[in-house]
Amino acid sequence: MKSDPELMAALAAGDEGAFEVLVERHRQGLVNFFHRLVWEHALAEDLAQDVFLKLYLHKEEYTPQAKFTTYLYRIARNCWIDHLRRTKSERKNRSLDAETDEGKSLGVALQVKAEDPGATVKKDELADAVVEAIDELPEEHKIVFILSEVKGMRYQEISETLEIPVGTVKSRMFHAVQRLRKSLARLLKDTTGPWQTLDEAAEKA
Amino acid sequence: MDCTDPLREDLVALIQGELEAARADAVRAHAEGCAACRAELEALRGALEAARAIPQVQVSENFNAKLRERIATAKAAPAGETQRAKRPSSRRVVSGNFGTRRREEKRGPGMRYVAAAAAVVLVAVGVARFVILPKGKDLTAEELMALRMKALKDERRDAPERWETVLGENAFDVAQATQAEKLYLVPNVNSRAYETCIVAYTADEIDAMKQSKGVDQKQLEAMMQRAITATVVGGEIRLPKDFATPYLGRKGSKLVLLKLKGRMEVWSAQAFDSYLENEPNMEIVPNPSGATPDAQGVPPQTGAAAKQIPAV
Repeated sequence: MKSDPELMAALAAGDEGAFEVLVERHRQGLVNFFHRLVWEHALAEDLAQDVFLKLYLHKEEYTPQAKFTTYLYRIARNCWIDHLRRTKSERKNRSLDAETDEGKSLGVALQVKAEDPGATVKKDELADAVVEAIDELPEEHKIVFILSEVKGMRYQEISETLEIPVGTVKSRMFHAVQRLRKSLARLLKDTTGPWQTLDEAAEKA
Repeated sequence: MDCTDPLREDLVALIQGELEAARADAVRAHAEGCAACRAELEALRGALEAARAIPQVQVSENFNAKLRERIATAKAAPAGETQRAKRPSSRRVVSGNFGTRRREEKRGPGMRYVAAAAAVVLVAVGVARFVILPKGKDLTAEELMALRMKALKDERRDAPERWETVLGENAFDVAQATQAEKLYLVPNVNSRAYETCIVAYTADEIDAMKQSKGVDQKQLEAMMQRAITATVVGGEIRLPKDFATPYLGRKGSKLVLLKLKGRMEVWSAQAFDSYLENEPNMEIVPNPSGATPDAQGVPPQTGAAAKQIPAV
């Protein structure tokens, strides 16, 4: 089996099949990386395709000195930043909404509920709370958290991918998990579940 | 009370095995002697474990095909325009009942929704006739409205359940859909959509559900508690923006009103679009002639019918 750098070299030399192998190998990871950021399947796939598209169009720019996943997720990070810029005004509205009625977080939480209809109420509530808690993290903490926990990257690799010091990765990771812990404690205390926020939204309306 | 020792910031790194041996020993030793940090360590470990329980999503079957398409588009585009392939238009009007069927089972041309035709605008006319506009054609709201009026004219009066969808600015015409003066609006909690949809029920439909044995009455009650009522005036219903926005996307976004399995639903056009994008095997099919729609409806989060409701 060819390594990623070998496949990139083959791609640069015109072997389109090498690209297909790279896509097969990394698409699941990339889609899940973006899914944890946007919680929207179609958009996550769209963003993952953005990454592969950039990889393909700039295939000659890759140098084997860099670890391939570091390179790939650096592109992903850039695509994510592009996306945040593109949707800035939209998110402003959404975050305002979220502050008042948590509509977004609710939709996100419900997604997990719907995907696993057989789960017990308790499990549902926990999953809802986890998704909502991740969603509430500041972007720079969230991306570190996702690279670490979803992608399974070590701090050193996250540091190289995001081009930030390892100490910063460690600090962001701590604050992310701590915040997650606090959000979970708060959300799970609310035994009435997500409906309460729905009712609040309706009352406000 | 929280511990202020700087070692505390290393607790997560300790759990994740990211500390050098000496540092890990120091943090462990500190945690053993500090009740606050010991408790924090366990709580953080619990939070990490909980987060790991969220399942991974699967990549769509058409992922590679779409990527190939985008690469081909990017290659064909003039220099400087290759960074992003054109995304599909969000303007689309669809009519008829929806069903999911495997592509292999499709019967004939003209009734298919093909994912590759992303930029095609489907316009429904009448019961089973779909007019497919040229690829890339972008309609204005006025043009859509004109087509809709034509569709209304053409629509068979004996099939009121198969009607059109309308795009509008958080307002739509329901004159052809219902004679009700009041509607109950409920956010559809069964949707997997980030932007979910709102279901509109008439009082009669609510009554039918209350009397139906197949409906979980507890869930129905819960649903009614979060429903808001809206009055239909002059064949139009206006969704309160503060209510619509959390469920239907940003303010001013286009809305799609459609009837699925006999149930009225309001979606954001964007969410509906991504649903179509994401369901390459979905086929828009006309109602079999003479078939009665499932008019009772059920609370969105209950019963077998809930599984049939398309979700983004």
